[in-house]
Amino acid sequence: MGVMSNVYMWQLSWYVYECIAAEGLRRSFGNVVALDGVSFEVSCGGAVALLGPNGAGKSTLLRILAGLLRPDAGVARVCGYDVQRQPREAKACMGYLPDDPSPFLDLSVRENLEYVAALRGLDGSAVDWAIEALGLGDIEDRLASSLSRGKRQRLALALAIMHRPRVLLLDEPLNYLDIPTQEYVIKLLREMNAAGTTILVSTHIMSIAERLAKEVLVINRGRIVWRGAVKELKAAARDAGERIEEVVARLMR
Amino acid sequence: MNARRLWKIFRLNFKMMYSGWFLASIASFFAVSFVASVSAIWTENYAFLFLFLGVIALLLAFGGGYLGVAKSEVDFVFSTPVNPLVVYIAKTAALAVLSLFLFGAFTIYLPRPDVISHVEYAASLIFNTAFFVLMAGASPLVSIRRLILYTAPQMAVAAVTIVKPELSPLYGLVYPSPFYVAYSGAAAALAFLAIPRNLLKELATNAYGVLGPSRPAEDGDAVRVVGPARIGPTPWRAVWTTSVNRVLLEVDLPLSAVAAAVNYVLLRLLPEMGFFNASEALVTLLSFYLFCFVFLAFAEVGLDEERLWLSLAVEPARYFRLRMLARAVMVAVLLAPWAAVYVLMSLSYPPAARLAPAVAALALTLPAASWLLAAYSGRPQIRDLELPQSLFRFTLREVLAVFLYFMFVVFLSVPYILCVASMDIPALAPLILLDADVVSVASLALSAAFFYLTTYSPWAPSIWGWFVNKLSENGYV
Repeated sequence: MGVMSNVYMWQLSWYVYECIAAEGLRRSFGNVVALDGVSFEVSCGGAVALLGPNGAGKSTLLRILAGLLRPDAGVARVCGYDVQRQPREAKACMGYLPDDPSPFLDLSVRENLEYVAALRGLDGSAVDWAIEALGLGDIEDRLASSLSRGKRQRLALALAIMHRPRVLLLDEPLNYLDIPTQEYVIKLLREMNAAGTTILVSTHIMSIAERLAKEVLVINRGRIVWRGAVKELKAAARDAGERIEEVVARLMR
Repeated sequence: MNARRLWKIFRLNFKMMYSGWFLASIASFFAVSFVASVSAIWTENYAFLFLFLGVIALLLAFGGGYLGVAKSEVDFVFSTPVNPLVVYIAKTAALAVLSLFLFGAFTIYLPRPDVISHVEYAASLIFNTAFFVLMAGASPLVSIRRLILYTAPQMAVAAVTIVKPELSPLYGLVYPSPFYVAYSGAAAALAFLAIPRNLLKELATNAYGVLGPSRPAEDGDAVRVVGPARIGPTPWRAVWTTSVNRVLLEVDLPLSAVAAAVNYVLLRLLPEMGFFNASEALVTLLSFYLFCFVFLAFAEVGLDEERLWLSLAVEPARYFRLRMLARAVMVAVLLAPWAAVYVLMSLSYPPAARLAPAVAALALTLPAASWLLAAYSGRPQIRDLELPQSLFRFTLREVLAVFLYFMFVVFLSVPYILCVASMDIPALAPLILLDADVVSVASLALSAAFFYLTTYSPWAPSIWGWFVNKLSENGYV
């Protein structure tokens, strides 16, 4: 299934121009409106950063796109599949890294990857590739419970990308990582993006958004308040004589 | 999905559920049961055997929590295209291994006349195991209201196994026959049909919605603190209001009172109707042990929701002293109906009075002991979604913690056992009863000393320092 689905998804991306699409997404938790009619799309091969203050709705949006949370209204599509109506197809095509991920602590690094490979119907080569890609070779036999937070984050990233997804949804992917590993992961993600993987990354750190994404979505109080290219933000900052973070902070107010 | 892939999913779930040392300890238990099975007592006293099977059935009925969803699964299972039902079945099959061991350990060596009876036994063993693990496995997934639909049949089977074994599907494990194969098979089929498929299907597209804070109000309300109580301004007020929640007052307390009343009815009324084959003394003792273990599970509640930084909000030793005082009050309230039941029972069965001081000793020890044992066992923390960070794992530490607690419970029951013995040896009764009094006083004094040790003593900071360190090692933040 693994190889076939990858080929299929690769072909699909040529027919589906928008690999991520949100149409009027709404989601409330009791009286709190987390998303209030969010609509946007990301072209196949695109890389978009999702910026917003705490509680803006970034994680809720990513969970809906990942098929882990049903919206009250609206439609989410990944690789052209409605994630609620065609969850298997959509999930086969995407990788998702949650905020504060928790790998399987009582399995070794390799077993974690083998487990998710079995769930996804991948063969052993996907495990080997993920270990190689995230530099986990020296710790592959260690239990996940014995790893530092940074190494667990690397493992979680490996679990999210091991099937080389066409769409990658990342929630604060560089949390807990040391600076060399951050650089390594940024390089890896940029390579994946260059190879055709569509990336939607939520982050609080503007410098990461600048390096990982070509476009920025600013979300506040459940609504998209600005969308544009990273270079537009840079130009706005230059014109105003401000730092780019100050421009973004103004957009979030 | 091919067999190799299914096997890998099962194998890795099995590995997550059991440590190697735990399996070794279970194998040892199996070997010990073999020795017991060849003894005269074991093979001739099947009434005693049905008591054990009933107790195992009750423990399995409470074992569903082991199949609850963990945060790891939300992060990395439900985000894959796999059908959650496949993972659920794999986890249930992994739990079934323990169930097979437990039921088999007590029955596999019983004498059987021919090959057919062995086949009937094997079928009964598999069907009974399937019934219990499928019903228990569903219980942590369903709402509190639906929970009773899953636990009541298991409780009923456990109860009839003890009271009237012929009515139980477990009877086929001791006396195999085509009827009991069909009976246990029907029970297993019903349990299979009762798998919460819609809920599992929902997990594939709405895991955060099903498991998160937006789930139906009956569950969401359960974790809130009581009413409009103000948290603070004093540390005691803060600790008290976060110790008492609606589940405790609206579910646990009525449940404890009802269970105590049911226990009273079972122990006092049914023997008079000629239901029990085993002796009243033994049934009372086993019911006390069972109640002690169920209460241990209740008393552990709350640890997984602790946050280490909370203990730094006030001076750590003071924080844990206040927390233990609040928990002691709540545990005492929950235990009160049981003490009352034993006093009431003593009117017609005097030895039961000796269990009331044991209940008081539990109230003094359980609040701290349950948390310390759970920390030692490596219980995972609950952070997001009210889910544990990792799946429950059966380990040797769990076995040792349970064994330690069992030894303590046996110690608490010594006065009762002595009192029962005094009825059989009237000549020595005054001396034996004096011994019983001494042990009762000693157990209460030791329990009070333990309570002091973990709250006001100069050693309390060291104990809670170890505890916090252990939780930190277990991944708590």
